[in-house]
This record gives sequence, structure tokens and C-alpha cells, in this order.
Amino acid sequence: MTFLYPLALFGLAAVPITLFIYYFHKLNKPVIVSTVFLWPQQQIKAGTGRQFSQLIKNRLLLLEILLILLLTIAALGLGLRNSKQIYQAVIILDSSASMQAVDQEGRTPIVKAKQDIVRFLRDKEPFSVSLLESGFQPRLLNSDLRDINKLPRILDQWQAYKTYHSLNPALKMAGQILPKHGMITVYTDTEPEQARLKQLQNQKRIQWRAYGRAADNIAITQAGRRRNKDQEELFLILKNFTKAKQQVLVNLYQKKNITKQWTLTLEPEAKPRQLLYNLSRTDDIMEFRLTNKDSLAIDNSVQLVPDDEKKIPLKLIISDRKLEQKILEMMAVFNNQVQLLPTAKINPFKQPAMIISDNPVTKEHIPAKLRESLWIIEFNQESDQTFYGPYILDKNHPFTRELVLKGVRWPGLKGTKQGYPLVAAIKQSLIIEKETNSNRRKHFLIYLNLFKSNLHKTVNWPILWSNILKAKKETLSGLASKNIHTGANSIARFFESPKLKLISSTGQTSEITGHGSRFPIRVNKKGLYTLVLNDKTYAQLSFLFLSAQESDLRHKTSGVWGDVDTASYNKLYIVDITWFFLLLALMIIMIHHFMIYQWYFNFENTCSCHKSFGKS
Amino acid sequence: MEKALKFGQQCAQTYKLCGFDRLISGYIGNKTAKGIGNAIEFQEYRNYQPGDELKHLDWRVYAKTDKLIVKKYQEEIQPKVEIITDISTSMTAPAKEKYEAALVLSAFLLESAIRSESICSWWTFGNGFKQLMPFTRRITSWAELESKGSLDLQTEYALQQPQLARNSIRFFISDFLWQSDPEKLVPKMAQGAAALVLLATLTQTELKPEFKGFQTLIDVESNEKTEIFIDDTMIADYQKKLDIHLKLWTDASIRHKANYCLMRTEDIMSQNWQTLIQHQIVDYQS
Repeated sequence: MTFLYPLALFGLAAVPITLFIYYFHKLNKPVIVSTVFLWPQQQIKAGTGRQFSQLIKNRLLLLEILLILLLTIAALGLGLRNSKQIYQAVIILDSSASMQAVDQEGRTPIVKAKQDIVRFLRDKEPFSVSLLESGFQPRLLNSDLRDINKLPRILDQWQAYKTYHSLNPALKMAGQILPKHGMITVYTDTEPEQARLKQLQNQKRIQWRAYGRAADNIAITQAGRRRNKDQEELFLILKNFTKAKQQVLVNLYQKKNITKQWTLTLEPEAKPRQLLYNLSRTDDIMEFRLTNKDSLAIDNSVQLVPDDEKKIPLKLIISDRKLEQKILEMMAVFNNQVQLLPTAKINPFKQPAMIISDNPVTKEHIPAKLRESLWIIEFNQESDQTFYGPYILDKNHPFTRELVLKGVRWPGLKGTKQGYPLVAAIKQSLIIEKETNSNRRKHFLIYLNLFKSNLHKTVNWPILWSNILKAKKETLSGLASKNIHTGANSIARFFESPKLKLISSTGQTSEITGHGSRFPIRVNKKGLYTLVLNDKTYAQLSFLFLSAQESDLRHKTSGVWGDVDTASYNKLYIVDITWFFLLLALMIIMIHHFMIYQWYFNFENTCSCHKSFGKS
Repeated sequence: MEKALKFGQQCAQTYKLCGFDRLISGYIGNKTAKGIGNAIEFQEYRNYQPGDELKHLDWRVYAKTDKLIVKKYQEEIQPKVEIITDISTSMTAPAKEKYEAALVLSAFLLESAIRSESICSWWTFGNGFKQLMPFTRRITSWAELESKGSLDLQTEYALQQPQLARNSIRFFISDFLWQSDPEKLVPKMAQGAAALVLLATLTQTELKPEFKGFQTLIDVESNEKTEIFIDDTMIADYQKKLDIHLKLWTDASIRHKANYCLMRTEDIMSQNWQTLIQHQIVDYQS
């Protein structure tokens, strides 16, 4: 049983008013008459007793109260659930971190939303719902849930930790899994844009419920720690999301002692402020803490662990001096990413991860036992044809990102080699990825004559090298970084299929399952964690909550949008029985009038009685 | 009560009961009544008419003139007036003034009758017929007369037949707001009377109620409560019903040669006797 317009409950206020009127009337001094037979006789003959007991014997009053009740029920829009239908819905749960922002009562939007979902579904029983957590890759928490008792356990899986607000992928997925008569209910803290709402395919079936709260906040939105030889550089970006200038105190802790203290005045309306601090190399954990009345615990502190940047061991085997010079110029630019190995011979203790050569690389150049995958990049300068485009690029390959080859003169290619073309001109391949026997090894061929080309004079030259080094760096074994953003996937690479565990500072342990050599490391709460590799401590990690978008709470709001509970919903699930109560009310009105004016009939009877006296 | 009665007596100082001929409707003239009285006085001769009693024939004239001549006598009498007043509790509603007015009217008629050289008797009913003042003596000091009882006249007659004088002029004073059938009651009231006058005393509130809205009406006799919503329509219909009720009594009175006279309580208390004068019941006495 559902009330479509619960506000109509205020109509019940008419009951005490009517009672008061009748009671007030009872307090009137009664009129003493010599006879009552000239007055209508159908009225209540009140007996003796207390005022209230007399009152409830008043049939007219009872009829009026009944009438008020019936009209109120009719106005409430009482609907009975169609027993043939069950409520079907997909519930989308916003997993952005702002759902954790506490209000003055100490409650977060996620807690309020969880309570509302339980209440909402209890009202809709029987139901069949699917719960979907939002994000770039939505996560299905449960499908076809029918038991309300299982709901709290499923809702416990819903955690708001993501550093971005993205509902669209979840809405698309909900549209795909939505049953024919299903509804979509979104729990978020952000009011949907009306223009965007109209673009949605199932907009008539989407209801938005938001539990956010517009609040001021001052937050750390970015932080980092870089090592450079004997020096370390710490940086911090702060933002003031309030409308006024704010004084903040920032403390830098090293081994729980304050090393440095800043008192800053932050400009209003999210103007960032950057702090830089240099110190000598240390293995201590450095912690920034921001103190201000408007800051929240989630984004007012960061802990940064020492993070050695991984470098690519690189070996150059180049005979052409000009090419060698050009490559060395580039390597100087990417100095912090590569480590040039001596050219003389292969060092058995420091094996190259990448070999760049202008001659075919032989087995002699390749170490017998590789710990990591080896990339071989061969330059072939024996070109006999010059291309001016148009060039065809494999945009999915990391090498070709951002490349714009318009206006480039590319002399290359002599003969045809097998492989996947990454860059081609007409039907001629210019950069090729060759197949190798080992999965770990990659072989690239670049057909390019720098004497005849202008490629190295364009912006494409550093982009190409940046792409190559970046792509290679991602394949290196170990962790990409030790200071990781919460909610983001950090991939660790281990080729030996190790047993990985992550232990939080509170002692909670979670196993990390890998996909091949990729081990995604993701946590929901910020703080320090220890990565254990084959039961040995491998590294200490720090997860940081850093998101300007999610720290900005100024536009968070509460409310309900959409029209799920109106026409479309009612037609599907509710049988409106208002008409039944209106009919009953009509009958009561008729009886009421009949009772009031019954004395007309009595009067007529009296007249006919008198006439009969006359005749006798 | 004594105050009301004395007030009635004082009011009657300049009035006398009149219209006996009309009241008795064709029997005997002023101050006389048929067959009743202490002295019989010869009046005139006239020719015998069928129906005349033979004992009144003057046989001597017949012997001399061979004509049937009837001696007509006039019975010299003192008219008897009986006042029968309703003192049931219904006379105290909606206000005590109605009861007082009934007593004032009773005293007024008693005094008027006495001033008209009639002999008077006063009865009350409502709690059984009771004779307060017999013909034989005149009471000047009144004991306290409580209004009590709740019997209507039909019930009274059913319970007890009052020993009312024959050929008297009877005045019934009441509000006559009973549900009894006037067609049956009026003949009983007129039984043995030379004339019957019904004096209905009603208050202005009873004639035209002014209370409106939700009201609790309490019957003064039965304590019966009636919850009612009174509006203009309701009042109009009440008055219509009252008019029909009064007309029933008027029609019954005409049919049984009685007089029905409606008096407002307020008129009685303000010594406005125009209604009685118009009905030729009392007249000024110089």
C-alpha cells in the first residue's frame, strides 16, 4: 500500500478542528424549551454522561470525521501494489570521495544514502534490484537482489574513494542491464545537469537522490616527492574552496617532529598555492599537515614515502656518429628516465632493458639471461625513397601518441620486412614492430635516414622518444611509484608470479591477485601500507587522497530529481484506488444530508397526521 | 406568585368581564344563564312554539282566549366563571415569565369576573386537577403556588375527571403545546360548560425563535435533549409547523363553539389587553 501524495496527511488536522467545534458547541448553554416536538426529531438524543462520551455518540460528528478520513485517504492517493508486478530497478551508487564528506552532525552522504536505500526498498517489496557502483569502470555489486536482509551486507561493499565523479559509464551500463519495466535510481551528492539529463536515453525512468551538502573546504590537492642524487624535493599544492581569505598553518613532519612550518594566507575561490621544500636525501617518511577550521580529515594531510624513480638501463650500439649524437641529445633531455650503460661490452650485473642500434642486433648483444624484457630498436638508414605523407599511424600504439607528421619529410624503407606497421606512408611501413620468439622481448625497426629527413627538426622527434621511453618504463619490473593516489590503479609488474600482500598501518592484510605479470594495487583509504613480496617486505607505500574536484564541496547538494515515482511508475506498479474512497465519501455526504434534513420527512408526516385529525 | 396574582388583580381594576351573550352564544343575556340562578322572575308572554315545555303554558289565558300562550321567565342568576390554569413545568419554559403571565392572566380574569358580579372558581392542572378557589369564597391571600407536574390535559382528563360546574364560563389558560389531538380534547374541555374560552399564552421566543447555530434543546418536562443545527430555514419550518399546530386548535375551537385566543406573554406582562378586548372577553369599566 502506497500513498502517492503523503503531504495530504495534513488533511487529518481537520479531525481535531471538527472535534473542537463540536466540543465548543457542547459548552454552549442549552436552550430550555417547553416542548421539542416542533423541532426536528432525527437529531442525536444525547444522554447523560461525560462530555466526550456524549460527543462520540454524536452520529453527525462521527459521520463528519469519517468523511474527513475518507477524503484524506482519497487525497493521499492510496495505491495498492499490483501483485503481478515486482519492483525492478538498477541502483547506481556514486563512489566519488566527496560522498565521505562529513556534515555538522558527523554523518556522511554515503551513510545517509545507505539508510535511504534500505528504507526505499523496504517500501517497494517485493523487488528485484541490481546495485552498480559508479566509476570509469562501473562495478556490479549485486544483480537480481530480492532479499532485503542481504542488502546491508551488499551495501557494505559500496565505498566512496574515487578521486573523480563519473556516473555516465554506470548509467550506460544500467541502461543495458535494465529490465523492460525497470527503473534507475541514482544515489549521489551532485545534482544532475538538466541539459545532460535530457540527453539520457532512459531519463524518464531515472530518479536522482542526492545527499550532499554545500560546504567550505581547504584541502591539499597535490603533493609529491622527487629524488635527485643527494637532494630531495617536496612539493605541495593547497586550495581554498571558501569565499573568503583563509589563514592556514602547514606543518611538515619528519619522524613525528616538525621540520618546517608555514603560515599562509590563501586566496579565496580555489586559487592554488604551491609549496616547495628541498632537503637532503633521507629515507624518512615526510608528512604534510594542514590546520584550518574548514579543512576535512580526508584531504588535510599527506604522507610521502621515499620514491626512487626507476631508470631504463639503455645501451647504444650505433656506428653512425650523427645518429648517435642525435640520440644522445635526446637521452640528455630524458636524463632522469634512462641510465646509459657503457658501450664497450655487456655488463653481466647491469643488463640493458633497451638496446638502440643502427645495425642488426645479434645474439652477442643480448644477455644470455634476461631478468626483464628487452626492447631492441633498430635504425635502418639505407633509404632510397622519400615520403612526404600522407602518413598512416596506428593510434592505439603507445609510440604514436601525440605524433603529427604533417609536413615531415621521411626518407626510408629499403625492401619489405614482416611485422606490424606503426607508421606507414602509402603502402610502405616506416616503423615496424616485429614478432619475436619471446613474449617479453620486443623488436622495433625504424626506417629513417636522418641525412635526408627533417623529422629530427620537428616536435615529433622528442615526442617519439618520450613515447618510447614511457612505454618501456611501464614494462619495467616493480612499482611505478610508491606514492599512489587512492582509487587509482597502480600496476606493479612481477614476472615471477610472486605472492603479494598489502598490509595497512592498522594491520589489515589483503592478498593481491595478478593478471599475468600485472598486479593491480588499489586501496580505498589513504595512509601507509606495506607491500609484502613472498613474505618479505618489498616496499612501503603511501596512498594519498588528492583530488581538487572531490575536495571542492561548494556545489554538493541534496534533493530528489526525476519522475520515477510519478506517472510511469504508477502505471506499472500501483493501482490507484482513490475513486473507491471518493465514492464512499459521496455516500457519507448523502447520508449526512439525509440525517440533517430528515426532519423534513418528519414534518411532512406531522402534517399528514394533523390532516387525519381534521378528518376524524 | 402572590406578586403576580396581585399584579393581575390590579390590572383588572378598570376592566370587567363582558360578552356573556356572545360567549354563551344565544342563551341568556347579560349576567344571566339558562336554568341556573337563585330567583325566577316573570319577563313576558309569547306564543307557544313547538318544543316549549308544557308546564310554562298559561292555562288561564288559554281558558279565556283559547290561545296557547307561554309565560316566559327570566332566571336571575349570578354567572359562574371558572378559570383553569396550566401550572405544569412546561409553562416555565423558555422563561419563567410565561408561568407568571399565566398567573397574571388568571388573576386578571378572576378580578374582572368578580367586578362583573360573577362568582368565580379557580382550578389548576398539570399535576392533577386542583381547585384553588371555590365559588363560595373569595381568597385574597395566596399561598405559594409552585409550578410542577408534567401532565398534559388529555392525560389529566384520563386520570381524573374534574368536578367542574355546569353551565359555567370556562377559561383554560395554557400554552397548548401538546401533541394531543385538539379534536378530541376541546369537547372534553367544553363538556357541561356554558361557554369555553381557550387562552394560549406563548412567549415571543416560542413564536419566533432567535437562537441559531448548533444548539442543545432540552425539554423542560422530560429533560429530553436534542442536538440540532438551527438556521433560517429551520426556524421558518418551525414557525410553519407552529402555525399548523395553532390552526388545529383554532379550527377545533370553532368547530366546538369555543373561543381560541392567542396572547403573547410580553403583552400580558406589559398590561396590553387589546387581544382580550378585540375578542370581546373584557371591556373597560368606567
